[in-house]
Amino acid sequence: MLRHVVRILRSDWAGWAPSMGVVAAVTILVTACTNQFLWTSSTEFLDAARRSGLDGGEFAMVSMTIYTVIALLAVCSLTVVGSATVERTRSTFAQWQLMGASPRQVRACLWALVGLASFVGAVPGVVLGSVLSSLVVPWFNAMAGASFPGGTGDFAPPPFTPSAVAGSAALVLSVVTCLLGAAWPAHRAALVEPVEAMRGPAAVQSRRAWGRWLVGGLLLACAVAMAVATPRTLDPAQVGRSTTATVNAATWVGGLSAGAVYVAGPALVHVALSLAHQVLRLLRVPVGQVAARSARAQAAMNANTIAPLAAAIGLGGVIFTATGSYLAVMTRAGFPLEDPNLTDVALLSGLFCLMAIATSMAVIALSGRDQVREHTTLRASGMSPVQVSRLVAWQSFCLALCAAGMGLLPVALVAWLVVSCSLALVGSVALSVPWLGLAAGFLVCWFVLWAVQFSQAMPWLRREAAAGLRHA
Amino acid sequence: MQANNVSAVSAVAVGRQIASGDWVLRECSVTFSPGSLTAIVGASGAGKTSLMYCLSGLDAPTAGQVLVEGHDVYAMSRQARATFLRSRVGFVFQQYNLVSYLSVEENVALPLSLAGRQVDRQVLTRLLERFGLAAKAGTAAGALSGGEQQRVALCRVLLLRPAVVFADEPTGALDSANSRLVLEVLRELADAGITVVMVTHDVDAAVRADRVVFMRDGSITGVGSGLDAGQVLAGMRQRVRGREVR
Repeated sequence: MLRHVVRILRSDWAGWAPSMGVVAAVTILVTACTNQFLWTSSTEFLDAARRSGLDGGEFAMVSMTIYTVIALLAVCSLTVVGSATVERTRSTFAQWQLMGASPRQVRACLWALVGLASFVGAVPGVVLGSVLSSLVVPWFNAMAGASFPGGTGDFAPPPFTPSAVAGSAALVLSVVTCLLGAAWPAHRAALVEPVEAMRGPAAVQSRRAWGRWLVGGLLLACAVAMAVATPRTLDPAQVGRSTTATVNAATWVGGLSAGAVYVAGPALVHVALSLAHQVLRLLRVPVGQVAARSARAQAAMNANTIAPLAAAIGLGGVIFTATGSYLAVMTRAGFPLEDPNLTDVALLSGLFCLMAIATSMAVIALSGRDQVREHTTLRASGMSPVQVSRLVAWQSFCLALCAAGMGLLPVALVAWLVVSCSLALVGSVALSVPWLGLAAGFLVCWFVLWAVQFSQAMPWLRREAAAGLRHA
Repeated sequence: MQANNVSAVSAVAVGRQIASGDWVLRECSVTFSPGSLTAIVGASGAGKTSLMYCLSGLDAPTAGQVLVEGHDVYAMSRQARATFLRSRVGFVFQQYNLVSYLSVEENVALPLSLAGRQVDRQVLTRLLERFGLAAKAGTAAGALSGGEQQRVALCRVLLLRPAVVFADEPTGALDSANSRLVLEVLRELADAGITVVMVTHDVDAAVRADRVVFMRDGSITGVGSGLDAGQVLAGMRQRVRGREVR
């Protein structure tokens, strides 16, 4: 059966390439981190640090934030890609089941497929990561050293050479994380009745909507409770400490509400797109109406289409609202920070957004298989190729609007917290929301969703509708 | 380009070459007059569906011309062709080809909405009632049975009232009751002056046609009556059964 797994991959390289690209990108980051960790933990490095009167362990400690962010990114991106891989091949394996494959065989094949796809993506990631590490790791180490209170003095680290152990560890980590992400969807796909799987996953997913509302509601309640309680715990006499506490609380509130949005996302999207459909109906935009319905069906098929984008907008917005508001409160309190260095915040947020976009692109590319059938059917119903192009634009607009709307919820809660806290601390509102950044986030989401979907639709739009009918 | 003698649809020396270089249609010339019900019959691979796709504006022929109401549809730009055909041509497919995430009502009204035409709600409701779909008006098309989906496709055609209806094996996936209903509606459309062109393997369907076009190896081999088609198709079935027995 492994032969068939290889053929599934070979039959549609273009569709699989974006997800392999995500695995490669994540592996590059993980390779750089493991190289940095091994280098700063080596005896030569620790001896050199000791000779300069520094604690070598502090370099690894300073790097811990970036390790944590990259680990989170890796887990989110790779599990999403692993799960999307399974969803993409559901109907293929349902056919196998109809022909007599057992659930165990299906599960094994799905794992083999995810393992193979992630391995193919991870290998170039390790190679590129090792090459890039030679440039990035010493530079990052110097940046980390710059944050030491007394500087690094005459510290000269030993020359850096990429480690084979680091590369192997990154390879294993990437593949295993993908496999973990695919474990539950593969298990579910193997247990679903073949006929139900052939009909599509929408019916199976709708049954779990109440669970999403429940868990999402709980997380949101925790976030709201924290946002309400925090201002009451602040001491206006200690502005510095209280402002730091506000930023910490904002991070928690943002994280919890982003989690709520992520969990309840598919149910929220369903409601939001139904609303969008009604609005477009009132405005008499027929193509837009079909697009809203199509977007709803797409989001129901795979919730992870826009969840990473919503998370990127939400968490990026939360981080910049919290840091910007912190600076505003301190300035209002009479302690302005001279030349604040937000490079690391911008770097981490940028990295997070880039990975979220890449993950979303991969998921869209993986879940765009039924697009040909859909567009062909619409063309047979009288839609012109230009109208189909407009449909793609409307569809991506609706999805981007949902992603931005979902992303705004954590930002709104954090803004509420910051307003309450600044009123308690300095007696006036000191809030800084990155509106331009959020608007740019929405536009980038729209462009990304449109670009991936349009690039898939374009070859078929150039051809006659009959070609699509035969293909579907 | 506009012809003087306006037939509903006509093909003039239509040929279609596929990517492999093979010709799936060769020099096909045929005319369909307004208000006629024509069946295109032939063995698998004879070119029936390819001819229907070319006639209906879905696939540009490699050679020849296709005229719908006197207009050379492939001389138009794609946009103009889609705009021209969407109110003049309706389809009934074997695989229904409904938009699965749109409701029954939305699927029926789709061609009119796309053309920017107002949907008469009363007519729509009456149609859904006639075909036993009123209770499912808000149900997504993907959740319907095959027979129900084909009835939705018929409602769509009846609401649109196009000049020509193309039906590709419309009874191929249906039970006898639904098949009978489909054939009755197609007959009704023809009697109302709409040109119906149907690709079929079904003897019952072919014998109801006013005229039958026979195809073999991408060419039109003859034109006859519904009775002729019944005999030909029955003969084909017997030959197939004979092969199975051997």
